[in-house]
Amino acid sequence: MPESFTARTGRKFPGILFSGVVFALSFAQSSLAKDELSIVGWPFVSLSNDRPSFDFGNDPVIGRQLCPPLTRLNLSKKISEGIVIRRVAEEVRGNNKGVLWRLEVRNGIFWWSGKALTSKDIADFLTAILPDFFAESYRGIFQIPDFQISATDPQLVTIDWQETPPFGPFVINGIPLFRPVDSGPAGLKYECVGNYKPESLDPLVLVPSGSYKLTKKLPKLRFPAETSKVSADVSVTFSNPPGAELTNAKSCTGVWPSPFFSVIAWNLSSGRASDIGLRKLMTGLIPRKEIVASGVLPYSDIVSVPIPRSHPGFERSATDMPFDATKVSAALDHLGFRRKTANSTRLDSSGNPIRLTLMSSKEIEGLAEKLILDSFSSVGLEVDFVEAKAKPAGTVDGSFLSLQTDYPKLDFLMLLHPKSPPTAGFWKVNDEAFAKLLEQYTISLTSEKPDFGHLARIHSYLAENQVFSVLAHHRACIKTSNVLRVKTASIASGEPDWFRDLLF
Amino acid sequence: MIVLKTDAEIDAMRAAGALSAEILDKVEDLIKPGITTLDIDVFVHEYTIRNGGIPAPLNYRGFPKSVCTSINEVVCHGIPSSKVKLKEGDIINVDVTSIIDGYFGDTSRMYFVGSNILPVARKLTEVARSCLFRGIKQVKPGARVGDIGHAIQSYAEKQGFSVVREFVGHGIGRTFHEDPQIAHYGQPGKGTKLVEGMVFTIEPMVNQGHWKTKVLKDGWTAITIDGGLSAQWEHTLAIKSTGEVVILTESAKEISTRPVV
Repeated sequence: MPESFTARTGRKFPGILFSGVVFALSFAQSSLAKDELSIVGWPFVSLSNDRPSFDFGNDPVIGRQLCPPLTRLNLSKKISEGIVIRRVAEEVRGNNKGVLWRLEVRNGIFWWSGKALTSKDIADFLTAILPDFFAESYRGIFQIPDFQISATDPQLVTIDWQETPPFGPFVINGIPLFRPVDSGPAGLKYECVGNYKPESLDPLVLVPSGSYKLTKKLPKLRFPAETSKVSADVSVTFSNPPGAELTNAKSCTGVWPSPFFSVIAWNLSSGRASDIGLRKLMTGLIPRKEIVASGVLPYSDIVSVPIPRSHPGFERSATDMPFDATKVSAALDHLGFRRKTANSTRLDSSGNPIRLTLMSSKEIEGLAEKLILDSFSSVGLEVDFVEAKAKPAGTVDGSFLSLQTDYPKLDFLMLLHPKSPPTAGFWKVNDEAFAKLLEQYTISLTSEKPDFGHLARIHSYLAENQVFSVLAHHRACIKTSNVLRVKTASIASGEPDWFRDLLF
Repeated sequence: MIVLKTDAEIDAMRAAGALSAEILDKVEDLIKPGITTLDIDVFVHEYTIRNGGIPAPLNYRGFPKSVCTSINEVVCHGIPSSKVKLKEGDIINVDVTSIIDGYFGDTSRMYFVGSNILPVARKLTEVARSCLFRGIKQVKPGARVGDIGHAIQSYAEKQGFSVVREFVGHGIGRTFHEDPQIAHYGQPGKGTKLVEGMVFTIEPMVNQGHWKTKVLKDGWTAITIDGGLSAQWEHTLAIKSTGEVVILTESAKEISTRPVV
């Protein structure tokens, strides 16, 4: 490529957080013609021997078949709803004497061992799990009053709060129901109430639990390693590193809004990125469209905050900050960061070059790094990429990170609240008003009808202040073989039971 | 600033050069009437990435695609497009630059579209290639950039053509465009002295008519000012510590058809 001539005078997923439960009490006409299905590409959920993780009940493919939760957030309906629990009621006692939560248990639910689920089982479960859950979820942010759990009736569990808690009864959304056993299937030390139980963990194979009399036969579910030559009935592809599936991105019809985002978390405390004006300009320099179009991140969507477009909390008025070198250059000039020559690095008021250090990641090394470097250098900003962990987080201006959100809740409380524990790579926002926004949304999520306006306000704050800049939302492409009839629209909209619909 | 490379660095640059050359070998099978220049871009982009490289043009100073495709009167920096289809009789330059392990390898070739090529187009293309190798022949430690330019210019003009002056060859290494600039016209004995460790491109653009060009509104595509045809060939070459001159972007297929100069 020739240069213009110029006269010279001298660039695990440890657990998948999804909402929704697969719990079949009745069955539609099955479209299946096979006894076994193979599912390739779904992130393997680590099944700990001792207990499932708190988010296991949100995994629509594995978690919900095995261990459905008591209640869930249904994003399609924008409400919290009962799954194992049929109905949740909250009774407020007068004179500030606290509240009583009433959880009505469904009939006809069985443990993997075949024993019927009782209200006492649920009371024991909540008694054991809730203290740990509150400690992990709200550490140092909300005060948790004392509570008492009782099974007052074969179909009723009550949680009695002497003082009104800061959250509502749907705080239990997504927590998978389980109980300890000495010897569970596949060596697990617990059992759940799902339609499926594990036959083996490595490779992962799920079989019908046999606890339910079903009108249709459920297939065995196999999760072979991707390197095996099994032709998959359900094939899931997330955005991959360069080189993979470059041409297939355009042909995907079953696009699912996954919880994964690539972001640059900015160092808000020190360095260049602590200047909000410069930070906002830098986010405008991220060539998101070019990165996605290059095929580096297939199936990805360009959003400027870690909220999928389909989510009710997505604020459509938030600007995307498209890459415009001319505007950014002018803005940098205005901020006083000037270049001595047309191609030199910009200098600050002290005459120091504007040089940023960014910690890289596997997802963006290679082509994406080059695209970003080119964008920054085109306006006179130098960027040095360092390998992940090569430098202490506090010494870099930003880190490229893969952010796994707890979709569909998208509760950023523990990630961003100034009182939450440090999270590797994410700097806290020391802004009281923003902290309040986070708290309000978290609390709203625990009511029957969450107010997603809170999330929209969080969205606006994030877009305005660029606490972290989102490169892309990594959606997943879900393809099914001819033996399955799937409504691609239901996958695309993120219906909570889309996987169950494949099976039943 | 001229960045001199060690022999080890020059050897490290071979991978990028080889990939770029390989891509141009493969492109030849693509070229036929009816395909679009975007088809070429998609092929080059995917082939580069699948083989461990990064396409350097993409987003470079805002260039929107992974390769330059310059047809007929387009001198250089043509932007691939779904709206531009190759026609019988066209001549097209495809300019590929790959990055491997941080090193750049820049090369371009001319292709004929179909078999019904105008005699002047055929001659222009062959002369441009000859110009490239006449320029390469001048490269040795102690020679001057002007020697290269003079060799190219004098031959091109003797054949009745002209040499573009507004775009030049360039140093290359860990960045796309470095010093020195290699003009394809000039006087012998003038200009920057060539020394061991230099790595640069020679990429003469030879015009059917006037040497002047203009850049279109897209900010990139350069065309001949008089609508005449233009042809270009390019290689990246290096001068090793021993004084040996190596071409880093020549495939075996190309070597076999090298013009005698």
